[in-house]
Amino acid sequence: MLARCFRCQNTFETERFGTQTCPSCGSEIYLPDPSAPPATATPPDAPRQPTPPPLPPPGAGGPGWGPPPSGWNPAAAPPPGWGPTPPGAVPPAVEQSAPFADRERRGFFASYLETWKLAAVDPGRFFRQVRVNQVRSALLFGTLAVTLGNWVALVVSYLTASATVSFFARLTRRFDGRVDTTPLFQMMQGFTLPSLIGQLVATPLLALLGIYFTAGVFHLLLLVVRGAPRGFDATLTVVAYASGIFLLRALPVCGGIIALVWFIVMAVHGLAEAQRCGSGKAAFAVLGPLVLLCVFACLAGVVAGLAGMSGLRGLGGTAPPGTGI
Amino acid sequence: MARERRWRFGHGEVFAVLFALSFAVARFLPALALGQTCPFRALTGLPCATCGMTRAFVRLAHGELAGAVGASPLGALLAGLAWLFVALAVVRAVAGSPWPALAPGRPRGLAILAVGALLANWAFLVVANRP
Repeated sequence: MLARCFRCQNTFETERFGTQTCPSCGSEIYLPDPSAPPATATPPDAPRQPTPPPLPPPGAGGPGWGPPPSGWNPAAAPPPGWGPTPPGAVPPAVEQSAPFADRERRGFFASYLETWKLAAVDPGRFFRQVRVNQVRSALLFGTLAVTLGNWVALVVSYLTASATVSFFARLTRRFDGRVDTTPLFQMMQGFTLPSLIGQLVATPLLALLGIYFTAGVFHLLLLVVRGAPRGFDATLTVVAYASGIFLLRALPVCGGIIALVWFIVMAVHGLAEAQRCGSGKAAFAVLGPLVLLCVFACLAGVVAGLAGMSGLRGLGGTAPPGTGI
Repeated sequence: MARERRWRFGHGEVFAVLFALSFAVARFLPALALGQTCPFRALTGLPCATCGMTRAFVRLAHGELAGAVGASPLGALLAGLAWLFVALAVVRAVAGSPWPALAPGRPRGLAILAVGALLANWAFLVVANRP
C-alpha cells in the first residue's frame, strides 16, 4: 500500500501498519490499521450503553447536538483559500497551488500579482502551503520577474551611464587621485548600445539558469545538514517564487540591494517551511557561503597580522598579480 | 514489442544546458577579457574559494589541462565533470534510458565531499597565490 509521511509529505510503499520510519526524511510515523478494533472499545463485562435514537431522515436536521450557543453565526462564505488568515488563527498545512499556477482560471496578471504579494509579504505561510510539484509555473514566475527587473535596470544604467561617468570624474578630482575609478570608467565606456541589446536578449535565459544555479547551491548545502527531505523540487520552487522579488530591481539606485536582502529573508523562510527543515538549516543553506567568507576573511586577517608581528611576510600583504577571476 | 521511451526535459537536462553553455562561453567568447575583479580579493588581497574558476574553465576548454589545474584545481575538475555530464545527458537522451538512481544517503555524501573539496581548493589557492 501507499503511505504518505505527515512531515515531508513524500509517499512510500509499505506492507504493514503500525510504527515505521519514513525512507525520505527518517521521521517515525504511525499508520493506524483501519481493520483493528478502536482503542476505546468497551470491555465485555461493562454495562451496555443505551441505544442512541435513530437518525432523522436526510434534510430534517442533525440528530440533536442541541441548539447553537448564543452569538454563534454560521460561516457566510466557504474557506478563503489564499485569503488573509484571521488574527491568531493557525493556517492549515494543506497544500494548494499557488495562484499563478492557476493562472488560466484567475487571469495572468491578477494571479501574478496575488502570488507576488503572498510570497513577498507572508513567505512563511505561502511556502508552507504551496505545492512543490508545479515547478514550471514557479520557474515562469521567477524568470519573468528577474527578466523584467533586469531589463529596466539595464536600460536605466544605459541612459544614466554618461551622468555616472561625469559624477565619478568629479569625485576623482575631489579625492585627488586617491580613489582608483579606472575600472568603473572602463565598465561604463564599454556599456554601448550593442552590448545593451545583447544583455537584454540574454537576460531571460540567464535568469532561468541563475535560478537553477542558486537552487543547486542551496540544495547542496541543505543536503549536507539533512535539510532537504522534500527533494530538489521544493528548493527550486522556493528559489523561483522568491526570485519574484527581483522585480524591485526596476527601482533605480536602491532597488537591487532591497531586492537582495528581501530575497535572502524569503529564501530562509521559504526553505524552512517548504522543506520542513527548520530555520537553522535553511539559514545555513542561504547564509552559509557568506558566513564562511566572513569567517575566512577574519581568520586570514588574524594569520596575516600574526605573520606580520613575527617578522614574516604576511599572507595578505600585497595583492598578487592577476584579477582573481 | 517496441520499448516505450519516456524522455522528458527535467532538471538534469536543464543543468546539462547550463554546463553546455559554460563550455560555449569558455571556448568561444573572450571571457577573460572582461577584466572583472573579485571583490573579496580586492578587499583582502586573498583569493576567494571560487577564484580562478573562470580561468580554469577557459583553459580547459582550450585544451590546456596544466594551466587549468594551476588556475584552480577544483575549477578544472568541475569543468571536466560538467562537460562529461553534458555528454552523458546527450547519450541518455538518444538511448532513452533513465538517469541512474542514487542510493539513499549518497547525495548527502556527495554534497559533503563537494563542500570539502571547495574548502581544500580554497586552502590551495591561498597557499599557491601568497606573495
